[in-house]
Amino acid sequence: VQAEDNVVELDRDREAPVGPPSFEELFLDVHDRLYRALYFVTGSSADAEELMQDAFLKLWERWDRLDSIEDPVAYLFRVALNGFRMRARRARTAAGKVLPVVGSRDPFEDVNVREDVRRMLRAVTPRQRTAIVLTDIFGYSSDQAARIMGIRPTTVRVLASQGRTALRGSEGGVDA
Amino acid sequence: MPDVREVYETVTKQKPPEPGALERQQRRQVRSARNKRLGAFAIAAVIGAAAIALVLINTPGADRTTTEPAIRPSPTPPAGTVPETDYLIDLDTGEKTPLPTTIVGTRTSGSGDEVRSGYAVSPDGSRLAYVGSDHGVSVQQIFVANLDGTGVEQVTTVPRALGAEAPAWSPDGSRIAYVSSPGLDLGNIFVLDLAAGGYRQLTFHTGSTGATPRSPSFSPDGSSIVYSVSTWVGSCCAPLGSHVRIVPVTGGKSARLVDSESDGEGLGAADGKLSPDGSLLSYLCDEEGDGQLLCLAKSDGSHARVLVRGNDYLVSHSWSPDGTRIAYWELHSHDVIVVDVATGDVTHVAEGAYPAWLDDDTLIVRIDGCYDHALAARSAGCSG
Repeated sequence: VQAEDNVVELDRDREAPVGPPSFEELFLDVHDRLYRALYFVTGSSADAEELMQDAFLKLWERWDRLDSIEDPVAYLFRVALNGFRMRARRARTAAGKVLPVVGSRDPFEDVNVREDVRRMLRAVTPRQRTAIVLTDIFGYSSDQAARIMGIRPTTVRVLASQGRTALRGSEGGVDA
Repeated sequence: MPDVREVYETVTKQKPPEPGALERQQRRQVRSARNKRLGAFAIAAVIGAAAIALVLINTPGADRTTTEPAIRPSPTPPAGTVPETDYLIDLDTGEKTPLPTTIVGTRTSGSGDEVRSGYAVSPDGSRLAYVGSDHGVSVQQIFVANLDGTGVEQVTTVPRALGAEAPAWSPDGSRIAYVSSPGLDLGNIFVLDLAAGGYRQLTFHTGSTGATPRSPSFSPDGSSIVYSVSTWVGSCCAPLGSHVRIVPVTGGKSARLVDSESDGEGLGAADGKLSPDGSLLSYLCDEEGDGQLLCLAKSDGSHARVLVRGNDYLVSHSWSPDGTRIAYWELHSHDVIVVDVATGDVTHVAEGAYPAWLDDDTLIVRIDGCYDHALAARSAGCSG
């Protein structure tokens, strides 16, 4: 702990770095947020890491055309969530071919949370969790969230509302 | 009742991203770029071959009586199937990328000439050393090529049918150790200086001893070569025993690292490899002639223990660059398996033979393979 007399004033007049961040700077700035959001949506740390890597890989491949990407962070979310949807679809298709009914895994089974929180999480679908994360946690408007999720803004609002309701302990679990 | 943000924070703070995310991401990018380059090269090769075929077909005098299409489209194999050529496999995604045809085309097939070695990856991951045929003549030679298939170069000219095999790179990428028999004796260990072109013979076993040095590999500091010596009955098929030795790369007296004596049933130790940090020695071992074990010891051969008890003869193992895993293949099933050195957990990752680490997340796999296993009573998968 530094004594008050010894506090060094930061040079407030120093100019902020000019120009867009490097890919590494963007990664270090965003990856934690993106990973946590994907973990909240998927309930799997391995899936979250892989989806995050896939998304950053796609962004890196387009890095020399970064000007064409309006919001790199929103782009990362969109790619990662698309990847999650495609994986879920493939998994459902594969499971449907070999098993008539597949018992669903508790997505947050390895997280130590209060039982009431776990119950709430179970009651919220991944799409509802996505809508909540984008609007309530990251503050995207329903229009922006809709572009990221590839759905209509009204659907985003309905999904987020359903999710919030479910998290408050009442109904939920059925997508709009 | 917790609100939405509280639930989010509660859940996500328990699972922060693992440290080293940027490094993992960068490795992923390197692999992706490399696979794209190889894919582009393969497409260019196919287009080039098609163009040549078209020119030949349209040449006056060419036989046009056939009703078959001149060029058959090669169907894309379904995802997850083994390519019909040697390939890279990304252990994270399972994606398989064929090696360039210029490399696979010069590599000697395992079916006819019984090549008992796979690809050796240069320390910087840019080049491969492998056993190829000397201009169609049945003499195995060591070839070097860039990973993208360019710069294929024959680096040995051994004038005898036994040829050269089992290449291994030095840590600085300037030399290659290999087994060869330029004279009338059984094979011995040689080290080739790639820049100067000269070679040094390190072992001097003669046919009269019936002992054959095999599987050379450099120590991590480049000062020594670890190899195994199999003692054979006659010239074929049934080794009396095998042990692991180490010799200075400058030549001189060798020393025994693993002291596992023969009892006439093919017992012993073979294919010794030091871990990337030099602290551990892995080698194939057996109990009661099973030949199904991968053993781990300290670098001086002491404190040996069994790491893997396989279902089959284990062959040709190699350490991952980060030293956390070992890849090997099983002789009869051609299963390529990766074992976690810390836990002993094994994972089947591919079908093929002679896996070699390109980086910590990528293996190069041969689709064919035979091996007269140093600990097995008979060779398998080989002709003759």
